[in-house]
Amino acid sequence: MAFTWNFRSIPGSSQHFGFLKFHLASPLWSDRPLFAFLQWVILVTSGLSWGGADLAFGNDGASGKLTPHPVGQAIDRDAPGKYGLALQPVELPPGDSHPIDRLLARYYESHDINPPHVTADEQFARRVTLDLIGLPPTKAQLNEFLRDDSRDKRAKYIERLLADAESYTAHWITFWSDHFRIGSEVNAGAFDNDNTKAPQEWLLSMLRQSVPYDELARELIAGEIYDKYALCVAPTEDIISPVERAEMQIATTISQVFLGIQLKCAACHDSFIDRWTMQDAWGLAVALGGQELEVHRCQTATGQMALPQFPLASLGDIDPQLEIGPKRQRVAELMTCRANGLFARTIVNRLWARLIGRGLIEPLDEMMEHTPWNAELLDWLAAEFVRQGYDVKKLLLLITTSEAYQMQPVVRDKPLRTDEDYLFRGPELRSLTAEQVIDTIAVLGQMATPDANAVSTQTRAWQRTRTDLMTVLGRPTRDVVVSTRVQEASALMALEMLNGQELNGLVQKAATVQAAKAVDAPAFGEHICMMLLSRRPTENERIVLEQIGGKNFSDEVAADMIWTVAMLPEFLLLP
Amino acid sequence: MQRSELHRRDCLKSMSGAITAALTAQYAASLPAAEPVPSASADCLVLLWMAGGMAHTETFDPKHYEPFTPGIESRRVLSTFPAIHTAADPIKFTQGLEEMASVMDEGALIRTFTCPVTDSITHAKHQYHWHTGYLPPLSVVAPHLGSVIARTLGPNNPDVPSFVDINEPMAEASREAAGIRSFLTAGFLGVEYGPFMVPHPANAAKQLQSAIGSHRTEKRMQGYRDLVRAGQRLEQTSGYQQESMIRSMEQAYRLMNSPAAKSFDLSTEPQEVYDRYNTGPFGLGCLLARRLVERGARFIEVHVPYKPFGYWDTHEDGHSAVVKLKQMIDRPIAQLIRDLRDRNLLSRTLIVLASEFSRDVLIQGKVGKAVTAGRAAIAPTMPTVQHYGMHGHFADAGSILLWGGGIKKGFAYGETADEHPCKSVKNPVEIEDVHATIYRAMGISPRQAYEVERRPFYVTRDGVGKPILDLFG
Repeated sequence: MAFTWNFRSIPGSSQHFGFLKFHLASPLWSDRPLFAFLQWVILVTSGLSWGGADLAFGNDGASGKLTPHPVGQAIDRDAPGKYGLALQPVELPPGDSHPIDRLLARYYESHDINPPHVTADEQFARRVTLDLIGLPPTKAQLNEFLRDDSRDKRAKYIERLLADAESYTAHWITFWSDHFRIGSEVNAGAFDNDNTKAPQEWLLSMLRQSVPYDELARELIAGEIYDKYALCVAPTEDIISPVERAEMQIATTISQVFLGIQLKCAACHDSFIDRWTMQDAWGLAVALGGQELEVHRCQTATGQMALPQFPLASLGDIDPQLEIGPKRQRVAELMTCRANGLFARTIVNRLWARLIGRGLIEPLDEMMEHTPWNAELLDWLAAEFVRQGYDVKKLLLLITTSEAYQMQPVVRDKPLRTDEDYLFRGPELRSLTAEQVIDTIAVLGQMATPDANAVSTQTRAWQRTRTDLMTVLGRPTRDVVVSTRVQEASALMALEMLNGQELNGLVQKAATVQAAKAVDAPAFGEHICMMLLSRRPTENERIVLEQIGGKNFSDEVAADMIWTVAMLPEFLLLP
Repeated sequence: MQRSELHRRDCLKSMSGAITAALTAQYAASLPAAEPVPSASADCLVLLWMAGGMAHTETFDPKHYEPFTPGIESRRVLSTFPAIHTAADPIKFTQGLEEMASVMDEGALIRTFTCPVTDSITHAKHQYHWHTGYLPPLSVVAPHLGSVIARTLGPNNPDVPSFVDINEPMAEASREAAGIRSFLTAGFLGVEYGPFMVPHPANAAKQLQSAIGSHRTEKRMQGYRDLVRAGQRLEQTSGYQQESMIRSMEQAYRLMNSPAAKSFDLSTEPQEVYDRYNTGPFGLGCLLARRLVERGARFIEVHVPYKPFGYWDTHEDGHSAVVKLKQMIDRPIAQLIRDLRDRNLLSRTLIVLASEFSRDVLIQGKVGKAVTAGRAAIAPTMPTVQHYGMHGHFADAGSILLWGGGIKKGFAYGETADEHPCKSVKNPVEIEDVHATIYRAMGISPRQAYEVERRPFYVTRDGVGKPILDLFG
């Protein structure tokens, strides 16, 4: 679909930012997008015309960045992404080491990088246990792992964690709920129609049974759960704009989650910042909803009826004559077919980012607009994921058994920006999620010797309505897809930690339970370090903990010690 | 051409500073406003929020008064209170608002706040709309007005949180409450700019004094510092994440112990003054607001809380309910205005009173049942006093009061009809223009934008808000 856009033709008042309606008259994106953007804002808002040549902008296939083009040279909306939809065959370098590390060896060499060492066993155990089941290792888990002297002890440990279906589910439900917008809170009240909790139950059963990812996608799109899912992402009444309809909400949500593409802009007009057109958004919506839809441009009817279409149209057509059931099945089929490498790449990229702290492609939701920092690695992982039957657990096993995952984290003096040139030098430091922080402390208050299996049957943070503590620790309202949780340390967060009732209650309870068996303050300090940091205190830390403990060990002192250790950046981050 | 070239060069010149600011911003980048913004006439904003839907004809826009008699014809009832004079003739209020009427010579009235969505009027949607300027659901999480102000202007005094929210319950007790309060967020701007919630103004001081006592908190803080220092030899402890966590903890601790923290302690107020404000939590919220303004607050919202079928959500027996509501708000608000005036703070403090929508005589809904537009109906008569009052959601007119901060004194803007349902007939005002007016007083352009997902997000809807210039002195 041809697209031309003349800067002068956009009136300054046409930008919208309503629901799914980003009427952004496009900026002149350049290699320095912000700069061009600022120029654009000034020009548009001051009613001036661009002094230079008439410019539109399009997608520069080579660099992967949006760059200005002379008018007439429009966005190539049919460009096949950076390297086509099909996964590129990757030849694995020979060797005995982990395939990911073999692929990275070439990368390190060509970028002159000395990869950091892998972490010590304790640090590895803490990281991987939190990553896979959302809690730090119990003493028993840790001891068993440390005592094991077999060469493949790490792989065996990971396999044990992944085999614990309940704990795995209780942790990963948060990740998937953030993506699918299940357990949405802003839609509660006036918009909430999901009284059945069916989508959440469905998601839990998918995770418990470790249902293959392609099957999960097909069920969501064309299975029985679709109608209940619709209630959880869209209002059923009070619909003001046609793009609030459930099928459009689901179209924009699933295309973002499964394909890493954003149809939100295109729901109202052909996107000004990437390739997607109204045809793409309305085509997918009408294929899902089954009812005839008149295309609305910025809430104004165009007189055109939407024709069913998959946004990656080259994969195949959707017959408009099909009944709604088969139509959805056709969408599911196009989404999960082998030719659609983007489906596998997107989830591989998401899980890599979750475990490593930064995606192979960033931002995670602009998969078609950017090149990965290591295309071979991405496509090899995606192909392996497909070969292993879209088994998410096997993918997690694959990544976590690599040295790349197990290395010392990168220490940075300022945040990484998404548009920054990135070199892989090891995993990033990641913040624990609200659920991880709260569950870890809550576990201490539940039993003296918590064990992962028993814990998962207790109430975990994901099951509860969002509290202030969760809010300041980064749990989002799920009214939009959340691919990456933002968690900046803020004074508000610290204040909640310093004197908030919820944390204080958790700490107090933990102290009462844990101190019951403690002999004295030094022993208790060591116990808490083991429980929260998975390591013994250093000599200096031991001295400080003894000082905090004082001479009269009590529940109060125990609470102070737990609080102090839990406030350490080492606890709140995932080194 | 020449002129516009010149203009453009000025724009480009003024841009470099903005770029620097945008690049160093921790959160969503600020994008520069195009037009020059008139300098601020207010440094601080106090929003008095009448959640639930305050009927304009029962409060600040009196119409034909019809006393109750059993079986009275509903359409004849436009106001259930007689009109009273205010200090700003010819502006009239309704009976029960005498104290506020006495300070109306300091303020202005907008009679014609209207919302484009008038057929499905809900508290969740309209409160969100009023506070963010955007109708939900949205594809990004929109920031609250207070967060925009906090992000754009920063604190007046670094020890006072930029956005303080008073008298709205904090914990989300139910999913419904969570939805209703979804506007109380900084959204994509980041939690740093979110509300500092003070759910119980009478106990505000306790929020900053730790529950475990100041001595023990100090001990904990000392232990924390020592333990951080002891661990600093370890690797991975010098990154920006660790440093910002440690810094945040120090900031929070400083806030707890700053002189500003004393402003949260209402017990230090003379008993006589405390009593004058104390009509309950809302009144004490006004007192707390005054103390925080004195200390250098930036944005404060004091709520009459939202409670389904409670407070201003008068679905039945509206007249009696409004009598009580007036007793709750009249004295403390008037006192707030007087106190700030007497302290020479009113001229630089903008006070705004508003509600998400108004009401008319429709009989609508049942306690415990959701209200839908389809169920709305006007009963032809009012058989009992429970029917006497304004009960249906109504968005074609509504009152907003403004005092101080450069706003014209004793002035009324817009006109509503004298016939049922008393709609806006002259100068209707939509939320983007209300926000543009507030932003103008605060020195912020209505086209101020923040970048999110590679798009500009304007602080008034799509940047189209126009300040109501008539309201400025």
